[in-house]
Amino acid sequence: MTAEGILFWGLAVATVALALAVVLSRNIFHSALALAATLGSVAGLYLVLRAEFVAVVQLLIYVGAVVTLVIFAVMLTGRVQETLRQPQFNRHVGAGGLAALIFVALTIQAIRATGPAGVPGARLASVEEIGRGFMTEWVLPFEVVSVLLLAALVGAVVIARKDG
Amino acid sequence: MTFLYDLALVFDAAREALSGLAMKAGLPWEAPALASKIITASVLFGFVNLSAIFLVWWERKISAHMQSRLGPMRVGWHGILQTIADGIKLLQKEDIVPSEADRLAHFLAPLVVIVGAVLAYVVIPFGPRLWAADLNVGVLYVFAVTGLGVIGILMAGWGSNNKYSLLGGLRAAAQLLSYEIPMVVSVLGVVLIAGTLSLTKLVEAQSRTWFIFYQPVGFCIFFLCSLAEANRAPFDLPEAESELTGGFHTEYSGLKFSMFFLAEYTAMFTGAAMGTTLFLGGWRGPLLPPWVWFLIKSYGLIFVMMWFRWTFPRFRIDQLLSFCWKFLLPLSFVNLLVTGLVVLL
Amino acid sequence: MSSVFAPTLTHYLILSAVLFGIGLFGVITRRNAIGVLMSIELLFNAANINFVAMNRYLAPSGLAGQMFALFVITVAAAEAAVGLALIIAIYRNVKTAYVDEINLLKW
Repeated sequence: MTAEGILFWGLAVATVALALAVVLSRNIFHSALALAATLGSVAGLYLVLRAEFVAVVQLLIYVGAVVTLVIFAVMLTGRVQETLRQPQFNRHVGAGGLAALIFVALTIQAIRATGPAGVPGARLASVEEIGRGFMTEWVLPFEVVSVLLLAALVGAVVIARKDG
Repeated sequence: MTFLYDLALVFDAAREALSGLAMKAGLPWEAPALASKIITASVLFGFVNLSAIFLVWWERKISAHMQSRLGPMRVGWHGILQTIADGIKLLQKEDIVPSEADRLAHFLAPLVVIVGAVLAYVVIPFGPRLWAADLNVGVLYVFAVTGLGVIGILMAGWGSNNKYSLLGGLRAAAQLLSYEIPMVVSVLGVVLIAGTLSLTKLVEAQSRTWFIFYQPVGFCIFFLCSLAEANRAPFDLPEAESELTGGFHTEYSGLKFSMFFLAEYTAMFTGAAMGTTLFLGGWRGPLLPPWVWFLIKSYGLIFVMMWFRWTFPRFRIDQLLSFCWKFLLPLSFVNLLVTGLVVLL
Repeated sequence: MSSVFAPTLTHYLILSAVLFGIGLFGVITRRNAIGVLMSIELLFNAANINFVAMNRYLAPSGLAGQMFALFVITVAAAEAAVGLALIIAIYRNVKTAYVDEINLLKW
């Protein structure tokens, strides 16, 4: 009944419930809001895991930017209510079966390959160490990702621009 | 009387009392520490909200005197209870929800905006020990939480089923997102000098000189961006009455409108508090208690913000955005570059 | 496991598996292309939880898990930006964002 346990279970239940709201909601704007809340609770989980920098970056980028982009796109593409043309029952069942299959496979692996319980209260690498890592061991992915971001920025602007 | 000087002593006493209770009740050792943090955070949030109420009155008085008139004078001494009277009026108004509005978004938007505005005070140090949590990544946390307000504004704009609200919401979101970037980059100069992202350590690093003398350009950029983040004039097009009939909060009445209103003043206070902490030495100062210095500096910055509002005309949205992207952003990058070079050499 | 209640690595792995399953269900089922993109973000987050949890429980002094999570977040943001730009561009031409109506290649 530790604080970590309560926080973990609360956040885990919230994450799963909100993720279900994302994929099952008829109204796509509500899905976007549920996505923001899901990403927020995942950031909470990172905080429980003592990864402060990743949690704050998750909030800053995912909730602050990606979800805002998604909401802009929802507003710019009109129809909000998902209208079912023909019954989608087969597709839902098939997708559900596949998802359940993958979930079972992953869970079996998780239970079989369980590692040590981990050091309680262990503090992960600080921001300083992450920064130093970015400049030493991980400098190549860092530079590549910056080029990728530049390409994505230019590409998104070019693709979404009105012709003429 | 020493608790007047170091208000944190009050919280220490509360923590001791809670620890005593927890020992007797057999709770785990973490409980009183967590509870004392929650109490500190709640007291700070409460103070900030009270402060927002005070700021509404102060703005009316300042704007009045700048315009050679008197402002509220009847309700209480020089109208100081005017905000409370306005609050009571707003609370008893009918809560009108537009017929085709998206009820969930319309209902939750003020909540998201005010939560986003208030959460920043978890990390801001009001005194040497007067803070709720000392996050390793305090500076980034404040900016992350400010981003939550953007979603609230989009929800308000979309959920009101009103084209003025939608336009106001989109413009506000564009403005808030754009101005976040030069704000973060200008603060990075300060972070480079101090070598830490934690707000309490940043205040401690200003023991000899305030960072405003090392980073004047950074301070100016940060101040302008925090004005834009709080939707304050001259950047208040999204909610300008003469342009968009109220922008994203057109369709809100009663308590929900007062939430938006208070959130704007809270965001203004956040910008001023961050500016104080990062550039003006936080709670540092001789003689007076630290929290008094913090409040003096923050309110000083807020006074300048109010001064801007009643002096400058409003920016158009395209002027606003091009000012950000074509001037402030390159300037902040140059500032960061020069700071980095100076720190390195 | 000492108790089912205290979170261990297995708990986080199972949570990430659940999130992955939900995201997969969403990718296959949603008709709106933006809905598909949102479900893809759920998949990314499931993988990120895995990374950070393994960092915390198996190698607390290292930082590979957190670094991977940061790179995944960055790449996901870039991908969401380009994906949404594409959806908006398609909407301008075909006036729909539903994946089963965007079938101009078959006449």
